Amino acid sequence: MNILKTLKNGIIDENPTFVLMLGLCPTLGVTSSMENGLGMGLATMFVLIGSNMAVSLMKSVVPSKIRIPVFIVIIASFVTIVDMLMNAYFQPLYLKLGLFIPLIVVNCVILGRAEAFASKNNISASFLDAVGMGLGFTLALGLLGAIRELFGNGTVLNISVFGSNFEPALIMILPPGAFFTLGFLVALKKYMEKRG
Amino acid sequence: MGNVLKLGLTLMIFCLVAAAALAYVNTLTAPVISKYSLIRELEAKRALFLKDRIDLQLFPDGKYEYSENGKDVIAFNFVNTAFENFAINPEYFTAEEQSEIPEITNKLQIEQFIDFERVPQKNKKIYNSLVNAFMSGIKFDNYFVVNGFSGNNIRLNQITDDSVYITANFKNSTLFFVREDDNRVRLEKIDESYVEEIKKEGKIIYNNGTVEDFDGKTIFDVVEYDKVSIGSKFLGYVIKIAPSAYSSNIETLIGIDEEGKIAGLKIISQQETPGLGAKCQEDWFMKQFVGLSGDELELRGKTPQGKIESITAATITSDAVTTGVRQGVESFRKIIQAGVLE
Repeated sequence: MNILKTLKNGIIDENPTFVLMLGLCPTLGVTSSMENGLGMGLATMFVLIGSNMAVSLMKSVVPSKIRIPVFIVIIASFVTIVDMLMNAYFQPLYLKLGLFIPLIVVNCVILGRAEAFASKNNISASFLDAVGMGLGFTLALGLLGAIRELFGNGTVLNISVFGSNFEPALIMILPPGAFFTLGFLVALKKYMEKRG
Repeated sequence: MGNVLKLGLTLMIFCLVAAAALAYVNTLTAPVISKYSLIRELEAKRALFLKDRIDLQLFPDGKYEYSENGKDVIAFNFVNTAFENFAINPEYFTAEEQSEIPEITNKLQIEQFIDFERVPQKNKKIYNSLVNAFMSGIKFDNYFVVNGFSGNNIRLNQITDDSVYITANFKNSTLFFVREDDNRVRLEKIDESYVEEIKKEGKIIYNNGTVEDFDGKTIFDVVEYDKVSIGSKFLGYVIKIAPSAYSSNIETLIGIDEEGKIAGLKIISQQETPGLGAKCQEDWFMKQFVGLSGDELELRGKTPQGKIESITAATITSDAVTTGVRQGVESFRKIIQAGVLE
């Protein structure tokens, strides 16, 4: 029951994109297509799980006054190591996700969860929190990407939806489209919550 | 005060541990990563010269025959091809059905080329084998040329006639070339300490035979290129450029034919924005360059006679690639015209 609650917390109640509004820079930057959104989401989830567990393991040896710089060192090292290992031993995966990994270093979701959750909870709870948050982030980015790609390019996952006569609304895959879509999605979520 | 020092030291220890971990992982992964990138680059280079047609005269000893024992039918038997060192064994291509053979062999013998657009689905396997044979038969010979600073002359300075090295000054250090034959030089080593020596007694000897005093300051560009051939047939050259674009340097391989036109273009590494600038890696964008000469490379948005359609919302990337390729191709065309390549 607790597992489900943690997962639901990450996906809906405290969704990193729609509720916490963390990591918006990569969110708005890469969601010009659904494929990119899902790629960024999965790569972030992967790093989030690793960094949450590492921070949770080390929470007792990190003095609280310098915890933020230490977390940054841990996260940046972890991301770089993942980047190098993936590039060397998982080439096909790296060719798809490698582009997003350097962007994750500066993603506030990772630091946010390290500070707000992993530094106060045990390793298994931190793992679950990372999975929930990662799923929430991936779904949010996938949804944003799908909507922007559909209206801005007439495709979803590179499959043409409207046929060749469709004139795409270019602004949707440009930066303003990211803000429009995010705004409407947040409003929609609030509206549905109010109605229960 | 003591507390600050203690915290600082703790933070330093964390950083040192992290740095050690990174260094260790790097020593493990760096060789693997560079091996993969070399393989990827070689594959990309080979694909540059793959057109939608393969001239079957490249397979001069190919016999078209089939045996009737077993399921597989031999479609091609290369008794004694001109290729050496095949990565795959191209001797036998097999067909699924015996009935395909006469049709294919007739067609190949009459037309002497493969048109990929018109290959029927059921014959794809045989054609793919031919493509593989073609790709693995391509050979690259790596050379460097010293490009003169003031234009299209290739200038080399020769200290003495019996010297082993031909040298050139490059960004304040000396490059030592070894003569391969009359028209080719190979970069052998670079050494700063020889600069003074050249200053004392060096002369520049130009390609056209004129001699000039060498003041030790002349800066030369060294152009690295691959001469591409298959069997005894010359295909063209490959050069590599890395123009700086919106958020990265775009490493690009350019295949150039003997007239200085673009035979193929492949972007092998870039870090542009996903969904926008990163689209420069898509086939439609790279294909636009094929068959054009350097002076035709302009964005259509910039000049009406430009032939390159830019990527939507990524003009900086499109322009950087187009300009980079134009400069690379134009300067290499001058080197071809200078006649120092073989």
